[in-house]
Amino acid sequence: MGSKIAKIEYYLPEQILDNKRLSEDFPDWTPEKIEQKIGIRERHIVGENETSLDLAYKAGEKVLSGTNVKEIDFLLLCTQSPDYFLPTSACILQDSLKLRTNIGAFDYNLGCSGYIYGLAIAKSLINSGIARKVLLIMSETYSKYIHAKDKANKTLFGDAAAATLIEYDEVECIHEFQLGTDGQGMNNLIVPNGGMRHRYDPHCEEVADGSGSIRTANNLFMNGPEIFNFTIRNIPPLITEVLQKNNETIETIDYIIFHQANKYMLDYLRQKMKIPPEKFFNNMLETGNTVSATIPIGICKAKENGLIHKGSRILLCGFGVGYSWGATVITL
Amino acid sequence: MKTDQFLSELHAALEIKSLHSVNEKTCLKDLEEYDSMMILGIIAFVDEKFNKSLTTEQLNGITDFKSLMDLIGLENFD
Repeated sequence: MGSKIAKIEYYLPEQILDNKRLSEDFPDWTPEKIEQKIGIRERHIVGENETSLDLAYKAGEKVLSGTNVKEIDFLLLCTQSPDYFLPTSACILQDSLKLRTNIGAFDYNLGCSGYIYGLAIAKSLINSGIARKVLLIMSETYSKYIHAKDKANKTLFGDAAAATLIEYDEVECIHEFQLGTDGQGMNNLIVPNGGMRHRYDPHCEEVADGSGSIRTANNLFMNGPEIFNFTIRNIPPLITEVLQKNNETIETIDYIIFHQANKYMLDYLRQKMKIPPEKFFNNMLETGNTVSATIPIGICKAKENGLIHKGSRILLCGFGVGYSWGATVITL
Repeated sequence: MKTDQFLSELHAALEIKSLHSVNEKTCLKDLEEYDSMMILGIIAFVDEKFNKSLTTEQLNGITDFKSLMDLIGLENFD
């Protein structure tokens, strides 16, 4: 008895913010420099009236094409930019995707580790007999939180949604997990205002961070150096642990897909862990960092490019806001 | 590590093109290339060569290359 990833689709909003446009706003950066430094040429950004729920619907509709929607018996939605505080986006999505009403549906709030946690929940639901076909959707619109003059975050993040169908299978294709959490890092990637602790403040002061970015406490803040320190400290041991749990080594694994944070960070982590470049996915050229959606988008792109195929054993690893991190091995 | 080697390797790792070479008195923040990505470059270099991690507070306090060497620890230099 086990579970498998049956299908993945993703949706990118139509509006594109390319490096040429960014360099008009931030003249000290050329399009070439941005691409060379962080490995991003363009990112897709939602329109003013477009939300994470809209993206989730589009991705869900794509993945359900050719599937009997009535077979879905659980819906999981990962987002940190929900349409409402309440109700839960997943409940609204159950209705718009015309799923059955006698199913479970909920949102969970995670960022770049979200896909790994979603796979862990979906596997648990299937293996415990609660569900047989789970629809797992990552949908994120960080652009809504980013200040127009925030050079660093505007350059890095893109909006996207990715939908995955996970279903019962006679053999287990979603293998062992290693997960981690450390709330001490909460202030290093945060939207300080807008929740109940600190309410949204329309008169919030603009603050320059000294490296060319301006934001307020209503906006997304990321302490890049501390996030980098966190990944250097936690991700290499995480990979060792998840490989051991699965009786695998870097040599026996066919391919490795990390959360696509930025090219520089991934290059450094790969070299530090002595992973051969041909086994390592590092491609966010046309999407940017799409938070929880980067791993499923990575699986799709790696498949399209012939880097992985049915039967490939793939190590997946997500890490970021929280801090929260996790890794697993799947058989495609 | 010899100081000259440190300066030369860091000059290359940080892809500093505006100066042919750097010395202990070169101020990081005055470099044309100084930006948030250069900070990541310093973190990676110090982790790789010295197995040390620098906090944001320490990184913000860096002025010239000598101050970075002080943070790494002068016992690491010949």
